[in-house]
Amino acid sequence: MALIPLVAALVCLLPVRKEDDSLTLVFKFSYALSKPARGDLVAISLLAGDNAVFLKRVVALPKETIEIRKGIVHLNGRPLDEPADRRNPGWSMSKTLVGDEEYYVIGDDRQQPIELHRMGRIHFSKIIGKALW
Amino acid sequence: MKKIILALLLGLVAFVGYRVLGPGDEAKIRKLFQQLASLSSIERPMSALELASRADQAAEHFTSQTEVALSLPTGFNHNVKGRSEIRASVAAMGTKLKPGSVEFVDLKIDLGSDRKTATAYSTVKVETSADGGWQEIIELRFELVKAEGRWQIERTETVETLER
Repeated sequence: MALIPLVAALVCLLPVRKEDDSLTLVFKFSYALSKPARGDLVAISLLAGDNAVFLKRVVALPKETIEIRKGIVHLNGRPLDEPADRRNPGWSMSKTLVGDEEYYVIGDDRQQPIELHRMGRIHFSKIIGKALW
Repeated sequence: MKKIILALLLGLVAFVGYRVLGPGDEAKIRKLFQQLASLSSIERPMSALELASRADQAAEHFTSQTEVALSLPTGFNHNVKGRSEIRASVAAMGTKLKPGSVEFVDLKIDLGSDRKTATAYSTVKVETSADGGWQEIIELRFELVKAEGRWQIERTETVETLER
């Protein structure tokens, strides 16, 4: 599910309506001096623009290998420590290599089947900024 | 004779003025998508006849050999070829279609160098208040062609920002 920014024109803070209808702010210059870190909640612009954006969590960093076994994310073969409510035993995914300048993002709501969840690799250039909460 | 020449000159000025100052190709394409959004939005339950009329009008924005290939994360896959199949698809859905709105939230248009083809990317928001409310965001890529001054959609397909 994509989320709708409320006022895309604001220069540095992008108000975004979340799926549960609450609001968050995305700081557009979060990654001007640094790169996204694992666990960051980031806004991602879509192919046609950013009047609607994805809000996803960074799970894997560039050049890492990601795999999901019975709901547990594995990075380079090691399980990732995540809250239990983000583990769906029905989820499995074979090994995927994340490319240079790419990040692997997954949403926090993982209740639906993996096929229906929008997740995947994204180039750094498509990341608008970090959500502040 | 003078009047005829004057009329021809005025006609020429009007033609050149329209070509220079009239709506550009991008504006025409944007208008096409506005009309499509309007035709696809169903404000109230409609009869099969009303839906058929909407489908007819919408189909006119597609070429006769148009291809539509939709593959949504919800598992909905639908492939249609030709205007007649568009009409048939709408007719098949008939009164099962729930009232809802279709909005092209973003529209990015790349005109071809020949000015007769274009590619458009759009984020489409589909929303309904029926069945407890539901919203879906779909990313679409369109290929358009211009024939006799009119833009029509040649191909429509879903695209995904996130690659698995």
